[in-house]
Amino acid sequence: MLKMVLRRMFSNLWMVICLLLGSILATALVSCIPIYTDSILQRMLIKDLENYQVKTGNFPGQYDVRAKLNYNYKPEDRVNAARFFDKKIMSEKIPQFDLPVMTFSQGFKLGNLYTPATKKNQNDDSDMMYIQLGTLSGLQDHIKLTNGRLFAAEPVDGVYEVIVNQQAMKGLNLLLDQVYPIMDPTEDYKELCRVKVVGVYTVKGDNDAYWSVGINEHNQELMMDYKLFGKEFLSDANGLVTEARWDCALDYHKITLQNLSKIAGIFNEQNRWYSRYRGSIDFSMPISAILKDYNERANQLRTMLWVLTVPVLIMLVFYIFMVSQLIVRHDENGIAVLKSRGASMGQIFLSYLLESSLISVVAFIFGPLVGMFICTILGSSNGFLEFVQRTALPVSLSPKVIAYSFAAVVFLIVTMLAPVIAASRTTIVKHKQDKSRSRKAPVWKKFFFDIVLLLISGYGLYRYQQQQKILATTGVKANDLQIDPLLFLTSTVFVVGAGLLFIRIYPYLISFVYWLGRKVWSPAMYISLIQVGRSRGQEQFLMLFIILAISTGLFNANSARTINQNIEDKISYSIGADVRLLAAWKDTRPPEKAILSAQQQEALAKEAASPMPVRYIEPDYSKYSSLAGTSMATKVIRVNNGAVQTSGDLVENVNIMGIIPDQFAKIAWFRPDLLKPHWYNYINLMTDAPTAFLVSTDMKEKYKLSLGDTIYITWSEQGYLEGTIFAFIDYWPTYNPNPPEQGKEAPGLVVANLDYIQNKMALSPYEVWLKKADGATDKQINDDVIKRDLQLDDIKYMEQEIVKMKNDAMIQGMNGMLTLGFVAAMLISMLGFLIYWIISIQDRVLQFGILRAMGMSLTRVIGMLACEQVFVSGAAIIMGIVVGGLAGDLFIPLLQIVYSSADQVPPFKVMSDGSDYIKIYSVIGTMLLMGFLTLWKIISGIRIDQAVKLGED
Amino acid sequence: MSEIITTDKLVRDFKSGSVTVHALKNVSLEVEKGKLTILRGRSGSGKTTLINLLGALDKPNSGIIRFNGTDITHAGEHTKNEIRRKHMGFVFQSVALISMMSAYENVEFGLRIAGIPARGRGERAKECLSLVGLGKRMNHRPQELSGGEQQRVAIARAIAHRPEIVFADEPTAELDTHMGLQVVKLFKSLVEIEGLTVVMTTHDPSMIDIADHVLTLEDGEITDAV
Repeated sequence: MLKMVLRRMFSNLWMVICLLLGSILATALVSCIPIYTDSILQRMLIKDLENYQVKTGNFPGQYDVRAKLNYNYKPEDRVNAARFFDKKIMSEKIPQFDLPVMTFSQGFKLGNLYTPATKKNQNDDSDMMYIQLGTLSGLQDHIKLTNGRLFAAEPVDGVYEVIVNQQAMKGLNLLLDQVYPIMDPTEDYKELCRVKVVGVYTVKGDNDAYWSVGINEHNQELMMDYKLFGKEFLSDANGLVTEARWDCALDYHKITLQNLSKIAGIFNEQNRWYSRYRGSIDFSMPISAILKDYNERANQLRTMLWVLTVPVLIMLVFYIFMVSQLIVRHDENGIAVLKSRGASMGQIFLSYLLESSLISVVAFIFGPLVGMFICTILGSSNGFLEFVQRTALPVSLSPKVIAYSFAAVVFLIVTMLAPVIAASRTTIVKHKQDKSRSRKAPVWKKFFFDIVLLLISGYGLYRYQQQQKILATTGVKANDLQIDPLLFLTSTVFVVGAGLLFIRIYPYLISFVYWLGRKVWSPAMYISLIQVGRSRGQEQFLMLFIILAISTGLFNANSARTINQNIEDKISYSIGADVRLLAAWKDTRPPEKAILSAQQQEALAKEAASPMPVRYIEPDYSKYSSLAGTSMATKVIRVNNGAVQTSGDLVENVNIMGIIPDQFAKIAWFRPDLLKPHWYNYINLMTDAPTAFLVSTDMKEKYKLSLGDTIYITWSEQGYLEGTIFAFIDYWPTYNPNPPEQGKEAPGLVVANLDYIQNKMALSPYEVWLKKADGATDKQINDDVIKRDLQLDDIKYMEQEIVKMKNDAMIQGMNGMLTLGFVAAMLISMLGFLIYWIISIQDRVLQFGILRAMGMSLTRVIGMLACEQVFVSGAAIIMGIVVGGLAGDLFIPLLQIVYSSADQVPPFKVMSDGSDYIKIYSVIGTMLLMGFLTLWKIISGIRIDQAVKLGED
Repeated sequence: MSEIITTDKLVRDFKSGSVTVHALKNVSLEVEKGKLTILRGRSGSGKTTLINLLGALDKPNSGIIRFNGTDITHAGEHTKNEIRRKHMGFVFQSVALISMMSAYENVEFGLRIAGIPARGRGERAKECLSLVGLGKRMNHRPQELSGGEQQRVAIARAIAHRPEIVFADEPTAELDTHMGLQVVKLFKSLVEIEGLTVVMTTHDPSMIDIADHVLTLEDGEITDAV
């Protein structure tokens, strides 16, 4: 049996290779879904945790427990309680998480103690001072002493040596090397012990997880040796301990998607356990909140990734269906003959089961590996079909991946066998009978799937458009989801529907062309027109493939481009230039209020009553304008709380901008379509007239302004500056014309000449806007900022912000999946293309032989196939482009629903890029060329006499 | 000169792995114009190889084939295509009609390939189909015709462009005796009415009587010529 199967496979070598490649690809793609999703989610998880640390300064892997033992417990029980919790936490609670412990500290405190106060001043009437005596395990390893020395591990002359932090030293007014008696108020201020402050400590190192809770908890605490404390105050006889703490830093980098839910479960369980001791136990683990938030985002991301794979999966199903049908149809004759010769259905079935199992085993072995490879490539996707060097995604073969690829393989076998079952029911007689009847119309045609799909997508489109209208009129924020996955689904439905509809109509179209020139067509043209126009067979699958692949590709490219470019534009617009910095301007204002004495505050209040403009000292502009890696610089004044006096109104909270027009035009980022005519015309107006103002359009309407009006601007208690309105503008670099929040008024904008402002008004801080030199990096500039030791209040790098955006898991996942979808579509259609043509040629070898025998030259036969190519593949490509373009025109504008209107500056714009098209067309071109070369090789290898003989077997 | 084809010491070997099969050994023969010649022999005797050589579908290892006195053994592919297209017609055991086309279209398509101008094609196709007795079924697709009918369409296609010679390789193999006889009789009448030359192979002895000439092949050699 095996020998027979192998021989059959070998005789169909080309086809088996295509089938094998197809199966490997299918398995790879299916296994890609969990691999990619998991690795993107994993990356997002770690990023979220890291971001928490950056944002809050706290270590995300913290696990802190505080036990207050004073009020709920009798003194004699306190030590036991401390011991009980200690045992539970140390041997049960922390190990339960199964995460590496990076640092750990355990501490105890005797709170509520007093020592005779050191008098700060005469008025101070308290004679007792509240202090705590405590200890922390491992303290000596995480501190550096700024003064004095470390405590001794044993009492010296009956005195415990202690160290304190700087705040305690200052706050408690302690003196170094002074001995203090410690008194217990519960025992009528009896002296408990004596301590001597021998050193002052501070934290060692900046990012020590040991100090993740901070050092300020110890601002009243005299710290002594850990073992000594245990011996003296944690014995049964001496139950004075009032507080115990366990601080643990778990290595959050070891949190993976696999143990995530386990960790969440453990947290919940422990939280319940601790809450039984509410009042005395305080348990905190910040990670639980992060993970909760993360889970929500992960679900969004997961949905998006799934939805983006839908087109690919649909194509895969089509592919497998087509291939198996083709192969069985190709073998139908053989099956029927076998059947007639007495082979049972089971035997035939078994032989095909063996064949498909052989193929599937190979696919099962190599599929996931190829999938991993694809995912590593995807990990570096930066845009659509755009890759960058980036830290590789953590790609791994989890059991889930194996399960997915196993499911794919089972599905493969089933689809490969389904047509065999149908075919093995036939005998040679029935087969011949079937052959002589014309084929029935496929199910989708009979039930009008194409129309149904188009209607569904049409309804989806209608719904989205309604939603968009509502959003446009109300300005309500849609939701936080950045990219609506359903939109992609609707567009896929549209693409499939339109493709099917085309395939329904196309044969009629071809028949019409045939009819038009039926008298004059050359034999090659004639036969190919008839072949395509009348066949109801597999070339429809091929066409659907190509249409799907190309339109999905185009749609993917355009949506990726549009989303990426719009987000990029938003960042570029809001920053305004390659680099925007604000130096730290010194002014004549007194230092911050908090540290001021009462008298000073009074003086300040007086000052505020009689407004005076703040006087600023200008930093050295040349230092900022000549940073390494920059090619141009300009000064820009940006004030957001200015006022405008029009002839009738005083408008407050207006943005005022002072620019040097010619420099500004060269440096600022601005999308030319935002203003009509080109924004340089507005710049020119300002260059020509020093007192010209540009005013935002919304102010024109609100305050009935018109061109040529004189208005006055001012800010920060300065005098009014007079200018003339030269033009109204909708947009201007960094200016957001939308209301900041729903219900609030949109701020207006006045743009004036910086020179004019500086001549007439007191010096105001200005920003420095820089243009990067060609090929310069942000790092280069930043290095120079550090080297020159520039004092900055703010600096923004456009490119860095864009890179940050592109690293966002959502955007990255979208780009990766869109690219994957496209590449997969291309690969599948190439394989489908090859299989289709190879089988179609093999099935028609006899026909070619006859044609050649009738005197048709080889060139003509190839010409005939070329015509068929044009009518099948060519038409499908054109249709793919049409459908893809249509889908783009219809659905991409809807992507803006997902942005809230306030964020949407500059306004959403559908983008396409020539380079994307070039990429797509070159992929398609390569695919067709490779396919055609293969066909050429096969056809020119056909020998007429043998081809003719083929029919005699 | 009434010979349309003469051959001189035709040799054709096939290599199958390391084994060389001598399909034809020094075959010299003449085919007379306007006659029905039958090549008979058991399967494997070299009939098909010979007819493929005569029809310029294959090349001999040595020997010469003359068509109307010209050596076609060493002619280029282009010339051979031209000769096949204009002067020869073929009928095969496997029928090989184009399934997408009706009987009429199949015949008309043959005329297209032969380069017959559009004007006369329709008429000629109908005429040939009537000649083979399918005038009433010419708009049927091959699948809708019986085996004998299909073979008759193939014959109509083979003769439509008025070739000088028609080669038929086992045209009756897939037909029952009755049908087969009808097909051979059709050939005979074509020879008589249209003045065609027909060379056909068969292993069916019952057809022999109708032929003008019979060449018997055995192991690649002509053993008998009547």
